[in-house]
Amino acid sequence: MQDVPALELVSRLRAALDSVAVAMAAADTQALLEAEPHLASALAAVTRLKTVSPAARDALRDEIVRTQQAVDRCRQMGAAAIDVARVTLDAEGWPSDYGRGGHAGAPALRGVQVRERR
Amino acid sequence: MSLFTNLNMAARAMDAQRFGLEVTGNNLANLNTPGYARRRAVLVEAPVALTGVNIAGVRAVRDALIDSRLRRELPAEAREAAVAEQLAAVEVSLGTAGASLDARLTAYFDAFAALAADPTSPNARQSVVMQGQQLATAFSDMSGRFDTARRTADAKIQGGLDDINTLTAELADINAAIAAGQIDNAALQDRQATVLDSLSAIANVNLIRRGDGGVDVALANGEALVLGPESYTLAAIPTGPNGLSTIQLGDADVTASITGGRLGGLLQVRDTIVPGYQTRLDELAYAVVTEVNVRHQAGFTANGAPAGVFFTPLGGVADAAELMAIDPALAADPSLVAASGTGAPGDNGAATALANLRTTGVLNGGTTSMLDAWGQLVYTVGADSQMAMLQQGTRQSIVEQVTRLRDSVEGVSLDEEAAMLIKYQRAYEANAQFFSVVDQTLQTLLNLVGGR
Repeated sequence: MQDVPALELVSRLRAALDSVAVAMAAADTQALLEAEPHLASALAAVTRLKTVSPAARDALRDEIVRTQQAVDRCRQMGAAAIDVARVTLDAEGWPSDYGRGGHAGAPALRGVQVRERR
Repeated sequence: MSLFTNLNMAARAMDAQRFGLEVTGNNLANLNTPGYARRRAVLVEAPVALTGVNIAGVRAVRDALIDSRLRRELPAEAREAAVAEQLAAVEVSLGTAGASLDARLTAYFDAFAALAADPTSPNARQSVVMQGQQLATAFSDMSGRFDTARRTADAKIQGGLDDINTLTAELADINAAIAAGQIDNAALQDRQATVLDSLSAIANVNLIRRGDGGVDVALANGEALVLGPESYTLAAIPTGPNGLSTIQLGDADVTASITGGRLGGLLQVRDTIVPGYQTRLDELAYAVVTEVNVRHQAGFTANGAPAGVFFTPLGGVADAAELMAIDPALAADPSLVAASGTGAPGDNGAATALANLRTTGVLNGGTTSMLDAWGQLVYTVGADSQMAMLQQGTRQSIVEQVTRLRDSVEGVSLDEEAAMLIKYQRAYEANAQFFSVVDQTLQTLLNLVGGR
């Protein structure tokens, strides 16, 4: 009975990673935050696996490879996003970190009077 | 789903994500760009299910209602500002109380009072002539200052027309670029918005939106300034004896169509407000000339002969201040100044009557003295100037309020954009912390499953 859950659990892990990728692709911060507990939960479930049925090994192997590809995709997208964000924030004089209270920190410098929304 | 489909989806997703961040970066970079409306990336699900995301484009966040409201307020504010600015200059040119035309009138009547006190004095007669000349010069100078105010406004009107022509030509170019389907339509719309704001501040114009996002521009009475990719030039043509310009669009005189914006204010100052002051000055000058002449001609010269006119008679009120001058014969011979009311040497009847003219009601149906008339004119100019400044202040507040409202919708929020980026970073990192564990787990699992 453990073979089917193994495939399902790895599929859940891949689906969680795909959710992360979709949220990043849409620049949907909220969806990205919401993907985290699903990813943690799916990962925890996979780490509890003990045995794998020989009959399910081929299908499981394929799913594992696809899941590895999903991780790579997330990594690449994340690296690009972080670079863009960091460079942009640096260029605008913002510290790329939260300040007290979880809000974005104040700008390190502002060269000129800005036209900003109130 | 094939590996190729997977990679394709990932590539599109990467593009979309990069695009979204570029839009945010672009918003931050354009914080100070005039007319820039913040952008939002528009992402849509790929047409084939489960194949990822596509970039639909970038949308500039604009509110047509607020834009339209702002462009209704801008001409009124600019008009009042122009009127206030011009009238402030006119007010200064009137001089200070007690040191302007009022001082010259007072000195003139004082000279007659001195002659009344010493009716046979040649020096007193000489003084009357001199003060009369200075009074005429003062009226003429004052009229010249009003003329200068009108010519200054006229020169600024010509400058305003150059600005309008530049802006309408730019709008026509923008229309052409939009119609040609130039890629960065949002940037064109930004530029269009800035140009329209500038144009609205110069003159009251009507805007007609084109289906493709371009805009046609017409004056209040429908005269077209921009039609698609074509713009039509306004020209200042000097007409009439005073050399002031009319505004021509082709062969048509469109001066009357411009009632708002800076040009509307300048036209009002040039053609209505200052001419009104000039008329009142002319009425005062005409009253001085006619009333003095009547009383002077009733008197007798130092030689006992009936006196002639003191000032050269005028044909009417028009240009009276400018043309005011004392009689050349009297200027050359002060003994022609009347002091006696009877012809007898030593009599001062005429000089007294002329000295008393200072307090005699001779204007507005005999209710207003000359000095009071001048005081009322000065008061009117000051009150008009104050009123224009007050109205400009009110209009400016409205424009600022609407501009703030527009910025709250269209402007880029530095805090919002930066917070979005940081939040995005952190959201990714929250997920990324699991990636290495996922790697290890999958590798362990793969080892467990073994190769094929």
